[in-house]
Amino acid sequence: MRELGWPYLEKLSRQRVMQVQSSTDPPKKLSLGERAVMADGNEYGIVLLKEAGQPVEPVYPTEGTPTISGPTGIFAGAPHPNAAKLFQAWLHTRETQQFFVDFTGQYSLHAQVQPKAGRRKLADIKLMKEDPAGVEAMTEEIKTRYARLFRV
Amino acid sequence: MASVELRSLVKRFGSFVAVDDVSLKIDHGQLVCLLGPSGCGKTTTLRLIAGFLEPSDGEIRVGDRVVSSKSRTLPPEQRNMSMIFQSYALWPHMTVAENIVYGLRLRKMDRDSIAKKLAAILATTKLEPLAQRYPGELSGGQQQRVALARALIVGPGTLLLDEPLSNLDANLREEMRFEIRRLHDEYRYTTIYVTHDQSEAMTTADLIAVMNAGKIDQLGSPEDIYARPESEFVARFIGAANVIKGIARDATHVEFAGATLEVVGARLTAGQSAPVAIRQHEIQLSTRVPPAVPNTLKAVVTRQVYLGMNRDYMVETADGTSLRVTTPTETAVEKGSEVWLTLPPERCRALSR
Amino acid sequence: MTTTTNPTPKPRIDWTRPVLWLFAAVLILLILLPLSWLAVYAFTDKNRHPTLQNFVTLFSNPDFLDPLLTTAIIATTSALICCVVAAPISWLVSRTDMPGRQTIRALVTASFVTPPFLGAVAWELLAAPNSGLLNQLYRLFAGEDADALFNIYSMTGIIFVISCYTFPFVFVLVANALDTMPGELEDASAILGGNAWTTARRVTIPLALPALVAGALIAFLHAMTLFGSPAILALPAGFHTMTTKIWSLFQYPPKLELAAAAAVPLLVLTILLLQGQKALLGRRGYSVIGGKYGAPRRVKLRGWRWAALGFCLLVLLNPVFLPYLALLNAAFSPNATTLVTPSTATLHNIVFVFTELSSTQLALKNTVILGTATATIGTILALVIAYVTTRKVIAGHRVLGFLATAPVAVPGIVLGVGLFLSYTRPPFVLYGTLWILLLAFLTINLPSAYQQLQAAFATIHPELEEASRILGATRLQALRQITAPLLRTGVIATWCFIFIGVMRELSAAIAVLGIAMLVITFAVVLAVNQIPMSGGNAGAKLRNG
Repeated sequence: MRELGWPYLEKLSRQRVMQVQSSTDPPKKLSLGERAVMADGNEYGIVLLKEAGQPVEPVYPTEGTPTISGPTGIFAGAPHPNAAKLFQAWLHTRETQQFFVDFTGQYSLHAQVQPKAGRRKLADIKLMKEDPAGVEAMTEEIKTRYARLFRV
Repeated sequence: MASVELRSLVKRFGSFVAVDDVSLKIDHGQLVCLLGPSGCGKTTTLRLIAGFLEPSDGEIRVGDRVVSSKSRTLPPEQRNMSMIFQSYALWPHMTVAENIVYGLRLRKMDRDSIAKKLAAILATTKLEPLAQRYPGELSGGQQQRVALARALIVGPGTLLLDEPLSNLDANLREEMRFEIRRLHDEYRYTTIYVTHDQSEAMTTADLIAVMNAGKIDQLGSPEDIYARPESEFVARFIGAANVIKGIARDATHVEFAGATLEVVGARLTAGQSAPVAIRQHEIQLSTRVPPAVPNTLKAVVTRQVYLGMNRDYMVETADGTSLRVTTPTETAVEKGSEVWLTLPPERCRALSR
Repeated sequence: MTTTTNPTPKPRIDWTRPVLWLFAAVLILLILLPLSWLAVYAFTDKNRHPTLQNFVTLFSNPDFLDPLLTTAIIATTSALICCVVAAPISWLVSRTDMPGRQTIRALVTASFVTPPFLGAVAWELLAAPNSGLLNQLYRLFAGEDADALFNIYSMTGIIFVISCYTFPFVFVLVANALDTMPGELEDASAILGGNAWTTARRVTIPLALPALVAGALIAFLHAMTLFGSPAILALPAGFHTMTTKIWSLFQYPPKLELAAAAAVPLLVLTILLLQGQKALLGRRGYSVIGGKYGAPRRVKLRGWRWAALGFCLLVLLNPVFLPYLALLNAAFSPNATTLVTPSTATLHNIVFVFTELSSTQLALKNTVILGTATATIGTILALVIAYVTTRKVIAGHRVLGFLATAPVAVPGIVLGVGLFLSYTRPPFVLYGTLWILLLAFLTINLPSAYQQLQAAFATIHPELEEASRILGATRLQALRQITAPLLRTGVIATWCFIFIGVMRELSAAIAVLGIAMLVITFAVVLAVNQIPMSGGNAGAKLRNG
């Protein structure tokens, strides 16, 4: 939206786009053969499908790819803050992160973690920057306009 | 109006024979009761006549037309009959008036005639104030009268009644018996009335057919059935008679408990066992040896109950047979006493079965 | 015979009243708390100042008006279709000599116990425009580029799927009415000269009408408040129903006031319809009056017997045969929308669900715990309340009876909103625990449990209990030793009813739950969402369980 503006989404909405409920749904529809192309959703889902032998291929737009980061944290009032810290420390070790990458097909920001075999390096994909504060401020407008356009 | 005739009618349900070779002719205008204990086949016979069931064998004629036979059964709606059901079967979604005129509407009668007939039948059955009520809002007796009105208004060729009084309380039942007889005398439809209550049958019927195990055991006027039973079943079922088992000495005498009884009724064959019926209030009980009268025998009192109007005795004869005897209250005898019984010959009925 | 006089039993404290009051309190809490919070939120703003602004938004904003209209269309059409389909089938099964009547009854029951969302998943596999098995089959004949024959992602599709799993409600009611309608009522018409058609028109149909109206009503309410099927089918089709809209209001940032307000029209409509039904039937009696009745005579269909059976089977193709075949296929196929062949058949899916999908074990365990706990507590609660109302033990027993049946008029999603508002704040912070589900299922299942047990109580004469009390038992002892054993069948039936209900219920759960909470129905949804082709796994699992 930030890069392309509402007119692009308006044009897109006229193309009989199928909306689904969860970001895990699009790869499923692709796998069933219901639709040929998906946008948004989890690209690691596609990677896993491809590894399972399905005829799919992730494509990264030259204009840039939106990213979704998966943050973790500790509640201020957590009953066992030290245990939580210990868990965080373990979670961010190279081994744990490498395991996640190998098992789920996601990317890690850990410098020593290698992308899964056969995957493009994160650095080779043009990423679009997240802007949580900007989104938060516009959340009501975005949701309303999007809902009107795509009737969800 | 027409006569109704059953010819060798049979109805089987699987291997069970509910109606077993029943033949019966009902002249038109007659009221016949099918009387018997539950399960005797009387309701099945009625449903066969109505056309709700198809006979397994035999036929049913109305006038000279065969309405039911093994090969062809005219549907109920084409028989010009009407019926009062045990449950009354009033349609709960129609008012009393709508229930009553249903049959007339089906007969495409014009409005004015319907209204006239409705008014007349409402008056006869004393239902005028209830015409716009729904059946759920009526008492049992009122529902019964609606059922009666609904059945009578169409002027049926044949009227069928299936235990119509069994859901009423005792007082109302007695009243309605006479009411049904009165209405029958007024309209004179050929009527078949099913009941298990002998006094109901006695009050209403011209003819009673006592049924047992799918067969007609005895057919006759109420008086015939009561006073001249032919079988042990009829004797016991109607008026709870004592039945003693003796041995015939000749055509009119029976050996029983060391005495010789003179009897009337069925012709006996010497040497054969002979059941004899006698009602409890027709036996005389005395503490003294009666002067030389026939049919006297000795017995011992085993039970005595004071009932207000009379006394009820249980006595045992020499051969161990128990007999019930009803006496006036003045005849008071202790339990264990020896007594003499006199069984008047004209009251001792030898039974053929 | 000798008799000995035993000493009078020692006077004990009769705990009856305290215990009964405790149950009454629990009931009030269970029902009134959610509805009160619902009312508070619907009529206030974020700072809890009274306002009607929520309703103004609701009825002026097309984002809410459209789902309202959509829901009305779906509910009305589904109810009509259900009646048109269920009425003839119930008549055929109940009143004719059609062959295979028992089988048809059993098959309708099978569609009755199919969770509606599972039916929706199966129909996705069958009739998704591109990948649906039926559409693939159609393209075999019509050519590769032919347009889809069926599109389940559409209003028609949703109405179709909802009708598939709603018509059993109408069937059960109408068939039951026809079963219990005395045959003599029809015989009485026949003997007065009414032929088969007249009798049907003047007697049978009018007498079955109240059941049909009640069935239509329940179908309407069910279709209106259903969440599972629209959640799966409406979004891809590009529209919301009221239930999915309410659900979306819970997503970040949650708009609880609007959700509460949006639930109110559903609640009001439900109550109005239930009241309207009473007014419609009015003074006419439809219940059977007095006496014993013979079994009804069956209508002879003669040459039409097999045609009738064919019709029933054709109808049942939609809710039972096709969906279950699709699920079965999916369970053994590497891809849910590819027809399985002996060479491609695989047990991978089933093995995966039971051994690898980490949520399955937990979900299974939680479902059993929840089902057992809800069924047990619910049965006891319903039992005590039914006792109180039939035996009129404490003052205010009428109010209790009313409260116990009140949730009938509260659609699942509405109750879900109320429960969410009630149990996410002190004194009952239960969000994210099994307890909130327990309370939800308890509340939802209470009315039918109560009604079943009340009917059971009514058949037990109070003198049986009084005989026990005159011999020295307290009320609770009499209840435990005399009444309870006599009620055993009813109690077991009620327990099973609730247990199955818990397995089936989803709509309140979704609204109440964080996505992390795992109950088996929930795990199915998760599995469908997360792993390709595992819709069939879910099917396999449910059939086995």
